[in-house]
Parts: sequence; structure tokens; C-alpha cells
Amino acid sequence: MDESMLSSQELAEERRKAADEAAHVRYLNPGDFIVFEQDGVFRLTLPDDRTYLKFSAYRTFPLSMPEKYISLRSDMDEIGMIRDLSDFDKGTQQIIRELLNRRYFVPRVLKINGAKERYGGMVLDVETDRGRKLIITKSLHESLSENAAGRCFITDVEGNRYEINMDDESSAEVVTWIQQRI
Amino acid sequence: MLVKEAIPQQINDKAGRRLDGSEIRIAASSDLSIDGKLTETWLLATDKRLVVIGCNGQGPDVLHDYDLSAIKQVTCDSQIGNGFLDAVVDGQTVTLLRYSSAQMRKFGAVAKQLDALSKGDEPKPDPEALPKRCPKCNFPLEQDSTVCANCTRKHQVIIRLLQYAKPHWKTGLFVLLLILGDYVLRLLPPYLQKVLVDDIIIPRKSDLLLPVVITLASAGLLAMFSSMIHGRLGAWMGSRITHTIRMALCEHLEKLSVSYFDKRQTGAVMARVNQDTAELQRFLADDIYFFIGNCFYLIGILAMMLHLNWKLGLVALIPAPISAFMTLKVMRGLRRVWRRFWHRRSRFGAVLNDSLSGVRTVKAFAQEEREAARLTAKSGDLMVAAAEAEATWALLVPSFLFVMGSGAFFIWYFGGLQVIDDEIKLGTLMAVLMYSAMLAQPLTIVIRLSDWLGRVLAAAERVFEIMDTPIEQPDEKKAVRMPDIRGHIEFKDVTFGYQPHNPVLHNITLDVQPGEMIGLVGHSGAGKSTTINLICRFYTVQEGELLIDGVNIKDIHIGDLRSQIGIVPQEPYLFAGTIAENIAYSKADADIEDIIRASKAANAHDFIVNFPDGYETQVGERGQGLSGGEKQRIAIARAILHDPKILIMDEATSSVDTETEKQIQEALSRLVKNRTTFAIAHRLSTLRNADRLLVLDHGKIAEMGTHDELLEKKGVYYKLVETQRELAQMKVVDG
Repeated sequence: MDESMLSSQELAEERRKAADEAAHVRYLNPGDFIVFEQDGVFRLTLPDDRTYLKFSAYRTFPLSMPEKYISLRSDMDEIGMIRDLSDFDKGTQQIIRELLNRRYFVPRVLKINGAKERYGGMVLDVETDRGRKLIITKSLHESLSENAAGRCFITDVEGNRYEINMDDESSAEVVTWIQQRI
Repeated sequence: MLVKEAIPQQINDKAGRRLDGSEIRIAASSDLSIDGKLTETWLLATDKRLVVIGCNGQGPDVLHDYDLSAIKQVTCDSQIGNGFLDAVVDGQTVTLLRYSSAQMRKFGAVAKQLDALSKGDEPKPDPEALPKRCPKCNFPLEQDSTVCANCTRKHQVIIRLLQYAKPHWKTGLFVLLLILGDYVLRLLPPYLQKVLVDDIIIPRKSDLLLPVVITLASAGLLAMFSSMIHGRLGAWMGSRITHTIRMALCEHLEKLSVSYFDKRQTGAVMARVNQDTAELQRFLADDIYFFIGNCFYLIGILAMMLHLNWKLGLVALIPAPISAFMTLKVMRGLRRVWRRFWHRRSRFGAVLNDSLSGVRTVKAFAQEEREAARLTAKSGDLMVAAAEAEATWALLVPSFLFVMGSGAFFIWYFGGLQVIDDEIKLGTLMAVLMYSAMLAQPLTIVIRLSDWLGRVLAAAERVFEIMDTPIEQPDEKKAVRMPDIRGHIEFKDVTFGYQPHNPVLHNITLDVQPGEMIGLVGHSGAGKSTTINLICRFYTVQEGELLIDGVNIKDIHIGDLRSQIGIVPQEPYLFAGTIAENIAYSKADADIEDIIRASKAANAHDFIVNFPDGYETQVGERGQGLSGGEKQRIAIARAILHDPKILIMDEATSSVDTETEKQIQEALSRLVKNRTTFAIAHRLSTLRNADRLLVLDHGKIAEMGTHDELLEKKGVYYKLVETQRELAQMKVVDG
């Protein structure tokens, strides 16, 4: 095909295809695969190819793009990636969201009921989107980590992680509390 | 011990009917519901049945109830921040419960024990399965620690700290007496000034003037000398005691296992050694005397004021409760803003360090502006925190000082009235005023005792926590001495994971004869490095046995074992010092000829003598930069000099060019002779000389045999060789 006949958008698409091929990333589009539940396990079929008896969904950008660029995997191998979950039908979306919800567990702090300093660490009584919790940290500064996506995480002494979305208006009170300290 | 937690009554009642009163073997609570809510779920199992009970708002509810014979397999599905306990029941996979990452270890053990129960086997106990909590306050304990930060009794820590001061008790007592003397002398001037005003100047008795002034000056002079001496002695003693603590801490750190350091950031451990011991030094050299002295000073001031005029003494104390309240509040507020400032300052430092350390990369990608913007943003944060800290200081401190000094107004008023009415003399009023001004310092210090003590105790507790962490092989007397290892290594059904619930090696069985060379082959993460980590006993085997010359590696004297193992790592670490010192690191008594011989055998001699300083070239931090191949050959020389019975080579030729590789290969072939050798190599061709190749795949032995046997077999090894051949061909074509 004469490349000069292609529009710039088509050229970009061609370049992207070529780049994908070079990096061996298999992007799955709607219709490329079917997901379903059987015997309590989620399975994935690539028509005319194979059925994976168990598959999982991993976020590649869990903080900034939780529903984009999702890697579908079977054991250690990548079956393929999906660019945007919203491009797929409701059933597929539901199964993949369920797999993502299984994989990622980070409660979001909504309210701080009370905070007490104890032996250089903090004891925070918080309300999260998953229920109430007493978070015990060694040192608040060492336990808090921020990232560029405006998210802030508290890791407690047992290794559980809790999220505070610094840009979220609903957690303004929590954000003020944090900002007074870090 | 199987996982068995104390079962709440309502859960017991709910399960009772379904378990028919049989003995409960496993009882484990999770902290999540299946939909991820923070609520309890219980799993109870007898020899025959399994019940899972959820606790929702309406009380306990049975979620699963199975006959154990219907369960075929129980597994853990570890995810991010949480995990699932799954079981195959009548061919269907069922999720029994969900738990947070804090409980992964516990449910790892539960899965294995349930699996065994369902098969009718006796489950293996796992004493480490339950998260450790303080038996008194239920505060989570850190792994490997038995010290509860929450309820460590303050006086116990202080007593332990003072134990270190015991050898210096005479000096300590002398310092204390000097301090008490110092503060007594400080109490004298106001009283003497009262005498001067009331008994000498106003009655015009000039004969007493000089003796009192001389007494006043002498008191000041004595206080000065006393302060100098106790300051010097206190500093000397504090430094000695801290040195003892620091040495004990460093010695203990060196004996801790590799896994201790895996779980912690080196920076945090270093902070404990540096900052926490510095905190203790301040306490032992200065603060403790300062505090005791000020307590005495406070009592002395109050006594003097009450002695001079008890009414005015009480008047001076009117603002004391407000002062105490403000001290607590003001200090807390100031501490918060300053902590924020310090935190932001360290963050700015980290970004600056990052940016400057990576200056070549920054420039290579022309990202100077981006780095400058990143620094500007962090500097802006620091500026805001600094401004707020200073502003808070500027706002709080003057008001605090005003309240602290307000006692003087009351004394002026009530004392003034008493002077006018001739109830007291002017000198008494002046003396009380001076004492009230002196009151602020000791009062502030006594009120802040709790804060100050908390800080010191936290530092002491962090230091003692390291000292209390069990070392690799605590009971050296029971260890089997093996000064002459032959090198016979047996893996018997070994399973191991860095996190016990997540095994990296599965059921490895292998018998290696003395002098045999084994090549370890497999993809990244297959378990090659873990295998050699176990032979070096950097980690302890969790299941199965690893035997050296027929003795379990756990029982062998660790010094004997390590002194007979030599390692040539992928990235050799050179310590700051000369090349000769680095080669002789494994054998401190090696003479110069030994070192040169080893270097020659390692093909290192020629490049070493080319350096201007030869074997005395400084390497390591701030030393001569050596290439990867040069470092590697120094590490080989180190191993040759060490003359080990068991040799480990971990990707020893991975990062060098072909010519250097040839030289290293030559050196290695001299080194491996007559030693039991385990070699990991990225380039499979380098393992051609191995007696046997062990191919690992996902932590299991996939194949074993010689190079030719495995090629013939056309299995995993064959595929790896083919892949490398294709890659090599591609390089030739590209090149």
C-alpha cells in the first residue's frame, strides 16, 4: 500500500501496530476473547485457539489508570492486554472487574476519628470504605508515602496499606490532617 | 501446634451444632469478609468437618459447611494487599474466605494443615503461623521481635540503660554531687542580694559590704568551676557508655541473619546505630544530670521563696498551672510543625541527592529543566513548612514567655503592698522577684519530662530491640564442629520460600558428591540463587533437610561452614581499602606471595600491576574505579586464597566481554578443581564442563544430567540452548 495515501491517523495506527509487533504485546479487542465462569473459576477462551482454565487480571497502572491497560494472565504468562475496559461488553467488564477487585485490596481512609501518638508511632482510629480500623504505625512520616498521582498511602506495622486520595474533596478533612504533618 | 486461635463464644455456639462437639483442630479468624469489608470471618475445622462463619451486622452466619472428605485441595491465592483461601470441593473451586496481607502467613499454614486433614494425614504444626502480638496489650509485634513497643515498661528500659552506666557509678555519683552543688550555689545570689539591700545598704553598714560581695563572687566562681568539671566528666562518661552500647549493637548486627536485613532498609538500621545511640549519648552525658539538677533546683527555689515570705511564694505560683498547660500545648504544637519541617527537609535532600547522583542521565536525556522543576517544587514545600514553623514559633513563644513571667506582676502588686505596709523589706521583695524569674527554667523542664523521657526511651527501645533479635545460631555450644568438610551435599525434599506462605523451591531432592560440579540452569526466578542461598545458610530450610557430609546444615557451626564456602558473586563487593587487602579479605594472615599467587591464578595480576599503585591501589568507595571484569577477577583471587571446600559461582561471567570472559573462565577452571562447585551462568556454554546440570523450573527440578544427555532429551534445557543459539545468530546478523 502506498503510505502517502494514508491519513495521518491511519499512519499513527500503522506505527502503533508495528511498535506492538516489535514489543510482542498482544492487545485484545472486543470479540478477540470470551470470558466465563465454570466450576467456580473464571476462564478465558481465544476463539479458534485455546481456553485458559484459570486467568487473572493485573493492572499495569493501578493508580492513574485502574481500568486501562489491563494485563490478562494465565500463571506467569500474559495472554494479552486490553487497552480500555469500557470498550468491552457488560458481562466481560463485570468478570474482569471482579478479578481486579480480588487482586487489589487497599482500603481508602474516609475519616480520622482519632489519632494518638504512642512511643514515636501513631495509632489512628479511621473510617475506611471497607469499615472501621485501628491503624498502628511505627512512625507516621516513615509510614506515609506519596506518589505523583496525588495518592498517599499509610502502611501499618502489619504491612497492610491504606490509601488517601489527596485530590478527593470527600476526604478533605483527612487531607488537612495529613498536610499538617507531612 | 496447629493454627488455633481463641474462639469467641457466639462463633463457638454457631459452629457447635454443625461440628457435633468434635475436637476443633484448626480455628483461624480472618479480618475481611468475602466482599472486602473489614470484618471478622472464622474458619473452624475438626478431623471431619469444615465450617466458615462470617460476622455481619446481624451476627454470625454460616457461609460454608463441608465434609472434609469432599475437599480435594486447599490453596492460597495471594493478591495485592489481600489473599483468598480457596478449596476444590466436589470438583468446584470455592473461595472459603478472604484475608488481608497481614494474615498471609497464618492462612498459608491453614491451607497446608487443612489440605493434610482433608487427606486424612496428620497436619504439620507451624509455630510461627500466628501473627505475633503482645500478650498484654495485643499490640502487633515485629517479626523476630519479642519486645512490645507499646507496653515496654519505662522503668525497665531505664534500668537496662543504667546497667551500662554501672561500671562508672563512682564518676556518676561525683558528677551528680557536683551538679547539686552547682544548683545550690545558683540559689545563693538572690538571697545574698536581699542581705545586701536589707541588712547592709539600707541600714548603711559598710563593714559587711565587702565580705558579702566576696561571698557572692565566690559563689559565682565556684558554680562556674563546678559546671566546667561536671560538664567534662559527664561528657566523658556518656561517650564511654554510648561507645559500649554502640559496640554491642554493631557486634550483634554483624551476627544477624541475611533475612533480618531483607526485611529492613539499610538506611533505617543505620539510623538506629547513628541517631538513636546519639540520642542515648545526649541523655547519658547531659540530659539525665540536667533533669535531676533542675528537679532539685525547682524544689530549692520554691523552698527559698516560701522561706523568705510564704504568702509571696504562693502568689508566685498563681500562673504555674496555666504555664504547665501552655508548656504541654505549645511544645506539642511546635513539635508538630518542626517535625513537618524536618520531614520536608529530608525529602528535599533525597530529591537533591537523586538528581545530583544521576546527573549523567539527566544531561544525557536533556532533562535539566525537569529536574530543576522537581527541586523547585520540593523547595517550595520546604519553604512553606519552614515559614509555618517560624511563624508558629514567633506566635507561641512570646505568649508563652509572657504567661511564664506573669508571676512577677502578682509579686510586684502583693509584695509592693506588703513593703508599703512595712510587712516585708524591699530586699525580700527583690529576692522573691529574682527567684520567681528563675522558676521558669526548671518548671518547663519538669513539665516536659514525659515528652523528653518518651523520646529517650523510644531510642533506647529501638536499640535494645536489635540487640534482642535472635542471632543466626544462638547456641554455639550445641553446634556440630566441622573443621574439615568434604563437600558432600544432599537436598532431601527441601521446600523454601522467603515468605513461608509463598515457596520458591518445591520438594528439591539432590545428592552432590564431593568434588562434583553442578551447573544450575533455569529462567529468572526459577530458584537458582535461592538454592545457593540455602547452601550458604543465608536462610534456613523450612521443610525437608539439607545435609552437608550427612549433618543437617542447621546444626553445623556457622563459622565452620562459612569458612569453608567460597563465593564468586555476580557483582562482587569491594571494601574500601587496597586491592591486596580486598584479596586477603578471606584470609587475613595471607602473606604477599600468597596474594600474588592467587591473583596470578585469577588472571588478575597483569591488570593490577598496571595500576600506578599496583596492589596498593585504593578501591571501594572513593577509590580507583575498576571494571566489572576486574572486580570479578579480584573476587576470584579472593576465593582462590580462601581455598574453600564448597565453591559457589553466581553468574561470575555475566557482565564481561568475550576476551575477559575467556580469562575469567580460565581462572575459574583452575579454581573449581577438586571442590564441590555450584555454578549459575547466564551463558549456558560456560557450564559445558559441569559434571551435571540441574535445570530448575518454577522452583522444581525439571531435568538433571550432563550437557549431552540433556540435549539428547530435547526438554527444557534443549529449548534454552536453542533460544541462546538463535539469539547469538541474531547478534551476528545485526552486528
